[in-house]
Amino acid sequence: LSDKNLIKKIKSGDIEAFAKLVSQYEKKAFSFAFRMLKDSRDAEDATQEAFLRVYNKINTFREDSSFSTWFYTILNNICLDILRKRSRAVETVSIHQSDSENDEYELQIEDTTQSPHEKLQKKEAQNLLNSALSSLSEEHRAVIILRDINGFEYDEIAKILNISLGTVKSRISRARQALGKILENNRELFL
Amino acid sequence: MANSDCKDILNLLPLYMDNMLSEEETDIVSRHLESCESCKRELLYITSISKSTAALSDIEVPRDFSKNIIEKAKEIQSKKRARRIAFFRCTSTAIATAAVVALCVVNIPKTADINKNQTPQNTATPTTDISEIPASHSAPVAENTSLTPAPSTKATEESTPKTTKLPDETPTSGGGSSAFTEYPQNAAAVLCDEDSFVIATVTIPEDMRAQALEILSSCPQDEKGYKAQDIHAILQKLSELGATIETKTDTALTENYIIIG
Repeated sequence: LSDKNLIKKIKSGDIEAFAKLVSQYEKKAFSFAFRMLKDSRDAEDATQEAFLRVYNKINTFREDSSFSTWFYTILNNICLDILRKRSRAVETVSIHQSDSENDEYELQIEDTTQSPHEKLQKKEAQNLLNSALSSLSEEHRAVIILRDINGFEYDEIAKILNISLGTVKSRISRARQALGKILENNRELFL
Repeated sequence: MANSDCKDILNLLPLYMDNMLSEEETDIVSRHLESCESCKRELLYITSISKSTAALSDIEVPRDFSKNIIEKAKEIQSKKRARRIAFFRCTSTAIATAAVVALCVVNIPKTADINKNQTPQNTATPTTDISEIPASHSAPVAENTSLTPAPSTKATEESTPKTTKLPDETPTSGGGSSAFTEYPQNAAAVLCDEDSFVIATVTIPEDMRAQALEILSSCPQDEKGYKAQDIHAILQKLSELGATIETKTDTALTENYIIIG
């Protein structure tokens, strides 16, 4: 069933339709939250909260944008709330891992000197990428995940993050350059 | 393009690969790439990273993840229903008073006739259009002809019907839960508080519905709904049309009301 049909059914009180919607979105949503929050329990809480907010507020969804855009707006906001609370709680850590765009380059991946075996190259590349993603700033991480993993268009990302299209462009541009820089020592895995 | 331009080109490559540059910029980058192996390799590199990122596996969701969400959603749903049912069973409300007041004003001559022959405090309600309006509600109105609702007081006579009935009445519900877990289908409008709990339903003869909806749409409201001071006038206008206003809850008057037409 399409999102539109499921939404219609959920609005009329069909809990089974909501279950289908959850099953369609849970993996990508949880992955997004996990990559943003870097913590399984927080990611679970955030994703659950996002789904329940959707359920509670479904009648306010006017369908002038896609459901996925609306859903990820909610999920991203919840993730940002959690990150803000964390940064308030652990001020000393936030000093060293601030959002400054240059700081992410300091967080290099550990031990990349050994050459991986051919059969492990793909896995190695994935691990490196996951590490590199997690070392990006929150802003850069969000745009890369939304664009490259979730496949959102630039204008949809602008809506989800509540920023201008121009800002989306500059963030994606800088985030990709940052990723390239972080993975520089393992360039051969990506050529 | 000279090598000194490579830095500018490198900055454009991340958007070039997504076809998000202007036509002019795209043209500049394309022409540069034709003659610059270094930038071409860089484009290949960042494109490859992007593709590898897209191919990253999803993170495995925790066990019973969706099951837990659905269970919580069901809890929310049943709580909402329970609250609606609980509200419905309470029959004395401030809104009832307001609605009754409004209707009494409309029917003042009849009420006045009744009062001529009977003691106000002990009036046994006669069979009239407003036969089910308790005397305790109608008497003060007959005296004051005021639209100001009485304070929200809990009914002392739980068994006394508070439903205001006019000709052409269509009952909106009975006592069972199934009739009111959702908004009554034959209601022209539903009066809710800010939490969407039904305070009263307004049923209206079919041929009057267009006029009723016109009344609702013409009355001022903001993003929170209708204001308390306007609700009584709205109910009065609706009852003048022949509406049946049936109250559902004993909740106190709230500041804002939502009318779902």
